[in-house]
Amino acid sequence: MEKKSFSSGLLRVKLRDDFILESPIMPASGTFGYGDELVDMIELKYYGAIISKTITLQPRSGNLPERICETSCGMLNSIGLANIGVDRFVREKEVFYSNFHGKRIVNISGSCEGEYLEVIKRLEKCEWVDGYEINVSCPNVDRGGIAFGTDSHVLRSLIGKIRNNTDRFLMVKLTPNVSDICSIAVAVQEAGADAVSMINTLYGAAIDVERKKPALGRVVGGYSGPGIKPVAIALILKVKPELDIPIVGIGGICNGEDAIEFFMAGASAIQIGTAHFSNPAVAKDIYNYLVNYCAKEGISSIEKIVGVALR
Amino acid sequence: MSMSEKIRQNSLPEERKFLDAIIERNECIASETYEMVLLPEIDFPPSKPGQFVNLYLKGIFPRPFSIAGRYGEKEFKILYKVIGKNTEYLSGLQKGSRIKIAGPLGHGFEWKEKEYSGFVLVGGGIGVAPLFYLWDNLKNVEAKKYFFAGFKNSSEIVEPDGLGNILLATEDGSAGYKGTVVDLLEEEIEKFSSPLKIFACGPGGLLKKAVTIANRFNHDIEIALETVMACGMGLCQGCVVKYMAEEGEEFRLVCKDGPVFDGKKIIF
Ligand SMILES: Cc1cc2nc3c(=O)[nH]c(=O)nc-3n(C[C@H](O)[C@H](O)[C@H](O)COP(=O)(O)OP(=O)(O)OC[C@H]3O[C@@H](n4cnc5c(N)ncnc54)[C@H](O)[C@@H]3O)c2cc1C
Ligand SMILES: Cc1cc2nc3c(=O)[nH]c(=O)nc-3n(C[C@H](O)[C@H](O)[C@H](O)COP(=O)(O)O)c2cc1C
Ligand code: FES
Repeated sequence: MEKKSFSSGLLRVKLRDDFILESPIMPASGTFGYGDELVDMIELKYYGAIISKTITLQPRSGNLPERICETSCGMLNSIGLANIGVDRFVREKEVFYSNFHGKRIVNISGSCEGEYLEVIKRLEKCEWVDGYEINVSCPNVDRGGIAFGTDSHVLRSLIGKIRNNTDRFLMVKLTPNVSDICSIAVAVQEAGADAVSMINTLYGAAIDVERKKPALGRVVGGYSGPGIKPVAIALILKVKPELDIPIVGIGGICNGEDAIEFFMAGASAIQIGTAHFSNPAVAKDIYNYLVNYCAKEGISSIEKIVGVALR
Repeated sequence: MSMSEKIRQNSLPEERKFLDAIIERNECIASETYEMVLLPEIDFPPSKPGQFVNLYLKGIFPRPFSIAGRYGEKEFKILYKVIGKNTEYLSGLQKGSRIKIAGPLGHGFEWKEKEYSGFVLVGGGIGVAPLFYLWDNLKNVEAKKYFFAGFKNSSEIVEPDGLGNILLATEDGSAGYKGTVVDLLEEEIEKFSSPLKIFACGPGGLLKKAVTIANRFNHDIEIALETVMACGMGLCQGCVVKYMAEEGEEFRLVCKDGPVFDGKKIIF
C-alpha cells in the first residue's frame, strides 16, 4: 500500500515525472547546514526535499571573517562555499540522508568543469542521493561559481556534460547578477536540465561606519532576505514564459503569503533561505499556511496556482 | 532508535529547543544593564554554564545571550547590556510579554574538580554573565574559587550571588582595584596554589591578555568568545574564528564548536 502523505496530496508537486515532492518546501543551500543540523530541534517532515550546502571536490575553509552582516531588509554573506568536501560528505551524511523521508538533493560547485564532473561521479555511487542542484551562481569565490552562471555558452557546455553523466534530477541555480537571465535559463534547459532554481544572492556590500571599513572581510558579498523578494519575483515572471521546465523559486521567502506570491509568479516549488535564521520553524509555518490556503480557496492542489499571475 | 537520536549521536551534544517563553522579570540592575528571567512554556533542556540562548527580537538575526543562571527545570536568567536596537527593544519589554527563544546552544565550560586546586573566573563588563552561572555550579566544589570582575566604573558593577572570593576592579578606580581586571589577575594569580583553571569572558583584548597570563604560569584556560551570529545553531558558517588544530590552522564555528574554547588554541 502506498504511504499516504500527511497533507493528503494537497501540496504534492511534480518537478519531473519521477521526481515528486510531497511538500513544495525545500531549504535553500547554505542556510540549513547539510540538512541534519536541526534534527533535534524542529520537524523535518515539512520539507519535501532536503538540499545540502554546496559541496566541492576538496574541502574548503571559506573566506576570512567578517562573513556575515545584517542589513535593514536582509543580510550579506561571504561564506565562500566553506564545506567538508565530497568524500567526507559521503562518509558522514549517509545515515541522515538514507533516513530522510523526502527527496535528497546535493548542491555542488567546482572551479572547473572537471571538478563538477568528478563530484557527480562520486555521488552517483550513493544510492541515497536523488538529485543535484548545480551552483553556478556563488558570488563569493574567485574561480568557478558565478563565472559559469553568467556566460550561456560556458554554462551550456557544463550542464550538457553533467547531463551525460547522470540520469538523476538535475536543477541549475541561477544568479540574478546578469543582464539577460532568460538566455541563461534557456541555455540550461537546452542542455538538458530538469529545472532551474532562482535566485541566488545579489551582489551587495555595506560599510561599518564605526570602523570606517567594509562590513565584510571580502568587501562585496551576496545579499539575501526579504529585500530581494521583488527582484526574484520579477525575474521569475520574466523567465517563466520562456521555459518548459519547472522553476523553483528562491529569494526572501519568510511566510506563507510570500510563498503564494512565488507560486503565482510561476514557481512550482520554493526554497527558504535567510528566513531560517529569524525563524528555525519557518517551514512548518509556511506548510500550514499553504494547506489552509488550499482549503480556503477550494483548490485540490497547490499546483493549480502556479503561474496564475501570468495567465 | 529514532532518526534524531541516531544523528545526534555523532554530531550534537545535547538537546535544544525552539519555543515561546514568558518574561518573568526585566529589571535594570546597573547602568544600561538588565537582568531578565525567562520562563519557557515547556521544560527547557538541561544546560551548562557557557551555553547561550537565541532571542528572536527585531530584524533578521536573532541575538545570542549567555545563560546567567537557572532556577529548576524551566526558568533561567540572562544579563544584558543595552548597546543597540535589539537590546534597546528588549529593555522595553514588560513582565508577561512572550518572546521566541532557542537553546541551550553551543558548548559550555568543562571542569574536572579533582584536577585543579583552584578555579579562577575572569569577567570583563557584561562578560561576567556566563560566569555567574558557572559560579553557581561551582558552589559545592571543594577547590578554591576566585571571581575577578572588572568594569569601566562603579555604576556598571554587577556582582554574583553567593559567598567566595570576589575581586573587583574598575578602570577609573571608583570601586575596588584601579585598572583592568586582567591587571588585577596578573598581580594576584601568583599567590594562588597551582594547578589552576581559568575561565574568562569579555572583550577580545581581555581574553588575549588572560591567555598570555595563563601561558606564563602554565595554567589551563577556557574562554567564551563572541562573534556576530546569523543563526546561532550551525546553519550558516558565518561565525568563524581561527583555531589551531592538530592538523594546523582551521576555522571553527563560535556558535556550535564554541562559544567556549581552549584559550590556548584560539588565534587572536
Ligand atoms: C555567544 C554569545 C553570548 C553573548 N552573551 C551576552 C550576554 O550574556 N549579555 C549581553 O549583554 N550580550 C551578550 N552577547 C552580545 C549580544 O549578543 C549583543 O550585545 C547583541 O547581539 C546586540 O544586539 P543589538 O541589536 O542591541 O545591537 P546592534 O545594533 O546589533 O549592534 C550595536 C553595536 O554592537 C556591536 N555588536 C553586535 N553584535 C555584537 C556581538 N555579538 N558582540 C559584540 N558586539 C556586537 C555592533 O557591531 C554594533 O557596533 C553575546 C554574544 C554572543 C555571541
Ligand atoms: C549564509 C548563506 C550561505 C549561502 N550558501 C550558499 C551555498 O553554499 N550554495 C548556494 O547555492 N547558495 C547559497 N546561498 C544562497 C541561498 O541558497 C539563496 O539562494 C539566497 O540566500 C536567496 O534566498 P533567501 O533570500 O531566502 O535567503 C547562501 C545564502 C546565505 C544567506
Ligand atoms: S552563527 Fe550560523 S553557523 Fe554560527
